[in-house]
Amino acid sequence: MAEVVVETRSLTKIYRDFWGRKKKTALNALDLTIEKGEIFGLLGPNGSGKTTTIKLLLGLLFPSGGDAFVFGQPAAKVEKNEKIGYLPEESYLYRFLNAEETLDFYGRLFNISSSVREKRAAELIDMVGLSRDKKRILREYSKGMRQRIGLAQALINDPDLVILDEPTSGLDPEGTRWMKDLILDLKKKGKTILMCSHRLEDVQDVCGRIAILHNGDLQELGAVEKLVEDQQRVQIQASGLQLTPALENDLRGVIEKHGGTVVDYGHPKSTLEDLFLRIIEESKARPGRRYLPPTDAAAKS
Amino acid sequence: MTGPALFGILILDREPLAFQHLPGLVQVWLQDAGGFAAVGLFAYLLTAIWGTSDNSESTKLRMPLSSSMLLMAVVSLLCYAAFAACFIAGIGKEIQEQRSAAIATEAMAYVPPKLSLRPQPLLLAAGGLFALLGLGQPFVRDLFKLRFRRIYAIAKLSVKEAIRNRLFVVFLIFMGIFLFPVKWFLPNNKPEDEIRLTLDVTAFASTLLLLVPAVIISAFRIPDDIKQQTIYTIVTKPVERFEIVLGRFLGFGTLVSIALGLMTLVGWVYITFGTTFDPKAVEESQRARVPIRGKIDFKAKKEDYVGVNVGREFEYRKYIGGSKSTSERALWSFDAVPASLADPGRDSVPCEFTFDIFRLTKGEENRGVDINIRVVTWQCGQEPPPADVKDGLWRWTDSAKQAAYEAKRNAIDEKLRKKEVGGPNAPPSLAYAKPEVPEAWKLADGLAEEFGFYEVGSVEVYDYHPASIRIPSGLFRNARAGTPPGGAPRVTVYVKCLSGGQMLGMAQGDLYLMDSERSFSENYFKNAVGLFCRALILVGIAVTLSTYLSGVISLLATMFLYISAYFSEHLRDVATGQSTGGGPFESLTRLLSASTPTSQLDQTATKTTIDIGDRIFQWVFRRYENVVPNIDAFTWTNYLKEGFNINVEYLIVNAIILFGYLLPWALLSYYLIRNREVAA
Repeated sequence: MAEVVVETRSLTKIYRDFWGRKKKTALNALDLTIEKGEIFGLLGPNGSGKTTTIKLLLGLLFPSGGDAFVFGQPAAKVEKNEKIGYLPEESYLYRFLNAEETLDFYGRLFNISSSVREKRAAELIDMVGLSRDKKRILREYSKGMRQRIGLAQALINDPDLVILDEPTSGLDPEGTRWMKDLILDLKKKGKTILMCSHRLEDVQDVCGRIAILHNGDLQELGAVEKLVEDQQRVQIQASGLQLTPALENDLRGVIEKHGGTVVDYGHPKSTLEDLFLRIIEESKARPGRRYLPPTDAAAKS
Repeated sequence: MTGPALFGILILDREPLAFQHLPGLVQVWLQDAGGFAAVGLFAYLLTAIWGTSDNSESTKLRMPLSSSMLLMAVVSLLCYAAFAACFIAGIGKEIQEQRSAAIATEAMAYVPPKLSLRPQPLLLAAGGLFALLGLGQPFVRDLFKLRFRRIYAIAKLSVKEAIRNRLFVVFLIFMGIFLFPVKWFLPNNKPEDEIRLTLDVTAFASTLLLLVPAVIISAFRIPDDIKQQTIYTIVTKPVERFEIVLGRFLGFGTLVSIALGLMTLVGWVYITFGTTFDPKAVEESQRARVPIRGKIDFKAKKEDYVGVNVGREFEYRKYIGGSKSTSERALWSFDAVPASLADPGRDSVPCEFTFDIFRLTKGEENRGVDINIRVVTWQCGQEPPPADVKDGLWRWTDSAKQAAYEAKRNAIDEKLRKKEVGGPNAPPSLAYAKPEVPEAWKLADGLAEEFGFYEVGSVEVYDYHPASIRIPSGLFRNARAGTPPGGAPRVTVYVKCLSGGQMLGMAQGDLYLMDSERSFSENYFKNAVGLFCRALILVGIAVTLSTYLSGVISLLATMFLYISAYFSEHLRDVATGQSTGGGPFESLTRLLSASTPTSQLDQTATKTTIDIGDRIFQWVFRRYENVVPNIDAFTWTNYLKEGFNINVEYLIVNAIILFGYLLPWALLSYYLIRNREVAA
């Protein structure tokens, strides 16, 4: 049985007003476990309890009921944080520090020798692509750059569990892809990743298992592949063919013969993200490339 | 004989706190801090046992409960119960009453608390001690988890933040006011007051320049961290939450040190090397006298004589009546005599004084008041004249010794008159002997050493005008020889007012013996320690409050507490029910009924209700008074500007008081930040 890294037992969070009156149940009796080496996604609309769950696991909030354990230790225990890296939704860092100073500051909070701290900071700055900007204070950084340095600070202790709250928030598609690649890379290194996002495509691309929350209640839990699989429909992909009326008729005939109904057919579509990334790559490969509006003749043809 | 007039007047509203006061201070600290700790401990236990809705591991970690905490709480409760029983039964006595009595006899506005072995104060202190031990247990346990590495990182962050956010630049710009001579702004002052005034202005400016930014950054930083969510990336690291408080405190403390260091250095360079000062001012103020202070008392033929109150409401001085035949005396007793005073190489010891004159008659035009000063050792006991004797001359307890002294003095006077002794410049009698004529002074010195007695027949003094006499050092050699019986003081100075129709007002700090002089520069830097302690108090309060309150509220609450400290005397009067016109309810009644503050109110049911209301208010106010910092104890500017040495002992006691004051705040901040949800 795989090692359990995160466990919640009936974890509940109720927000109350000054007089103790109940305002909102942000999380209601959440039970889940996250095993070592998996990428786990918390999904849900705004206010569903994703960030509350993360804050409870990190000890930023105190549970109203139930309990949370990380590496087998209660969430309130400070020592567990030695093995955790956390990237908040927005990179809340000290904007008067530069990238090097930021990593040095956060590195000092761990039991890391100065030589290791320096080496790791340099590697991380390089990894997040901020080598040229490492002397600039964060106030001068763009949102994406701050997110990158935020990720670097989350990894300064080489954590076993990385908690990412909306990791692709504020990133352009290129940055989003870079972030997703990095998350997959971390998984390859044996790290456990817990991320929450409301960008479904991000979660689908990287997460092995997900939990879907709504109004503080757990709605669904399981492997992404299983959850997104539509047992009611069959998809066929073929190459070397053009979609002619004859082919359409033949296909319809075969499907109807087996008791099915054709729902849709046509050429497969790439995702907008894939299209965007392909265009950017091409633009980088061929500087000067630009969009030309179609001529009238071409448009007619 | 009077010395030159260039002396300092140090008006001591309070005796500086020294090592001898520590036992009393510790006892009062245990009562005050322990009282608050007891409330905190019981509230904590109630919350931990019944207040939490769940019994999760996280909650147990956050609000630990141990059997020893419960035991301490029970013992503390028992102590308080025993105190309540003593209080109801009237056993023992409250410390507050002792303070009031002390004020009456010692003529000081504030008398430091003394260690009391009476049941009530002891039980209160014991209850407080056990409450502190109980409440402090998780705190002490967690202290071992703290790592300087992390505290240092947070402290460094605080310093960097202040520098990068240009707070320091603003500070340096404002510091420019130190570079302008004070006389430019306040030109109509006496030349000899120039340095005094400069020190006053720089002290005021330093206080403002240091304390205002210190309290602002301290009050806002942690709330801003929470508001801007930068604290998320800190508390999710292996950082004990109290390390954040300590780190911030240390960082702001470092900033305060740097700023104060700069200001002190600039001020010192300006005052020491500034060439624009009047030479009189330099001679008067750039000194650091080391005074030896005695205890004041008032005595006369009447056994219950305690000095006269002339009805000056805001004066704590007591007065003695003036007349050639009066037996009223003000006495200063010196229990210890340092060896330096009795050094054979030293010819004399200055005794400096400044008195208040309360005139019952106009007196002589352009003339002060004559006083007589008698200095005696324990070997030369004095006693007031018997009640049936008309003259007011105090006598020696050993009349044979007195006769021997008088015979010997007359013989020397005779020889002086005939110029047989005392050299070519010999004075006509010993009464005129001065250290400047060593041959004659040696005779006075020898007589003082032999009999332990020295008297200056008449010295003219003016209202609040400093004067001095010089006492032969031989007298102190006499004082140091042997052991006084029954704890009698080694030296006593008797002051008598000779001028009829005049009264002489005196307080403890008005007369002192001068031991030696220290370096003014050293004194200047020692003065900064007091300001440093005050700044740390402000930072400590602000940081603690900011762990729970918003920045603005923390700032206001800190300022309110600190400013309250400047009215501590009034607060004490209100808290102890000594304010004229009574408490708020009685005052309101007087206001509505248009009766004067001193008139007696009729004992009716309404009056009883008012009294109960005022007593409840007093109790609440006493608790508030306990929280207000003792700012006076950290203020040394008067010592500096009047040219008195700031004793290192006082500064060590300052550090101890500072620690004692900040410790309960640290405990409070520990619990507040530990149980605060830093995320919304």
